[in-house]
Amino acid sequence: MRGALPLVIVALLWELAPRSGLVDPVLLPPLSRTLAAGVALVRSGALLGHLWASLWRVGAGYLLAVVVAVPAGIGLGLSRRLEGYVSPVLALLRPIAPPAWVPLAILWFGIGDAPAVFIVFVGTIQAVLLGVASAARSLDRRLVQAALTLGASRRQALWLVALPSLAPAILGQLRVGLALAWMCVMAAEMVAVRRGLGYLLIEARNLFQTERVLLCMLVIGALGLGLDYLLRMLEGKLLRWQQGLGADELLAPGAGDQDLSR
Amino acid sequence: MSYLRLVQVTKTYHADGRAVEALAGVDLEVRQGEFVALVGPSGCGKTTLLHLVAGLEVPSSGRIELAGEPIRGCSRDRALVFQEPTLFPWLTAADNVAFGLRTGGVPLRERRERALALLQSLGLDGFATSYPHQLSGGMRQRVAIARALAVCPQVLLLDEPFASVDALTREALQEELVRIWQARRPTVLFVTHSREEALALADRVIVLSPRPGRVRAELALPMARPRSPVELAPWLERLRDLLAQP
Repeated sequence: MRGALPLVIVALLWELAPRSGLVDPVLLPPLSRTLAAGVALVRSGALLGHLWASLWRVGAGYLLAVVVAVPAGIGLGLSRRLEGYVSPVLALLRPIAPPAWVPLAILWFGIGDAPAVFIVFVGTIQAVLLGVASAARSLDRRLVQAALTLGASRRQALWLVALPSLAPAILGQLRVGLALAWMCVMAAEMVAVRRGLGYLLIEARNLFQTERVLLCMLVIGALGLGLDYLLRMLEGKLLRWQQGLGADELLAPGAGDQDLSR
Repeated sequence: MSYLRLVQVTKTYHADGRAVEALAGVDLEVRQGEFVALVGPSGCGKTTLLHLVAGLEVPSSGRIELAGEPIRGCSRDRALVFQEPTLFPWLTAADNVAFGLRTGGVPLRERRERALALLQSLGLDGFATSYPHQLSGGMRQRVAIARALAVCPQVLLLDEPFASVDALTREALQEELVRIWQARRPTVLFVTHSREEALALADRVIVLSPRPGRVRAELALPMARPRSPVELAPWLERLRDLLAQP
């Protein structure tokens, strides 16, 4: 548990600095007061409601983006011609940061879930599309050739070779995208909605409740970490071959525990 | 009677607005079950020739026929072993070997049995569940050969398959290849840059000219295998002379 030590130090500083008068407790309330504010928020049920609102928006926007971006990215990376048509448009859209879409999203969708989901969608799709496309561009074509000479149809070459060989890169992009989606939903909730962690955060600032501001930030950080952890577990399950462990399609696990030092 | 037939096959690549001629009118006839080695200076289009026969590329002109039929695209009839093993890294050795059976719709049970039998015959029993990165270079190339053999190809195309393994492994693999060929009698096109290897293995050695490649000469070797270095010495000299010509 070496990783716990820095956290303990930060927690101690956070507690002691305001208490000792080193920093103004109004600007930085001690950790204990921040956590107490959190307990109150959980008791009243408010935190959970806001949390679900944010999670729901991230889930919807992110899944929509992934469903579009992964196939489109693969197509873009594998087809020079398609890329030639699309990449100038993408190049222009790319520097527009997701928060810059917020005003347009409000004009189009009003106030509520829809603009937030839209912002998450836009932010995620940018990252995942370009990442998957660049991975697909560097697909090892010899593997595809090998499959073709073994009688694979084009469809089989795509499903049995291109997809598994791109899987590590795609999963990596999905993690990047999820982190971005989580950031986007906060940006959107600060202006476009009346619920969600981002809204709670901005409302707390307006009421000068610094401990609530800090608490929201803690929750945002912890949830982002949790979401990433979920994807990492999925990654570990799907990419077991990279560690060379575990079962495969043909043989039961443990059927051939072999001596590799031979 | 010829089984595999190349008639005036040319291949020209276009890159950066320039045309590069890789093959210039190759004529070649191979009997069924014959073991033919292709040698020539590097860049003479040997690999291109194999890719054309495999169906991965299309000739710029000329035609390629197998058993009287023009070849169209890739097929299980013509399996290719690449210079590098080119295994699927996410599949175990057994799944790699079974890949061509899977695309061909062979049921799981049969796939497993055939893959395991092939791995065993190539001295890889016990490594069925290993992933490619857990195997040595020589073992990987064995798996690649087993993968090509699994689909029972009529024509086995090998592109310098033993170039990246050490000398001892190479000798063992050569012996195994001859044994497999004698047992199954596929038609073999074997590209190599090693004169010794070509002479030790093939019924016939085809010498290609420098780029653009065309058939310059051929040597028919009537001797039984295994062939001793002493036996091969005069042939080696002739082959060296043929390759040294400008």
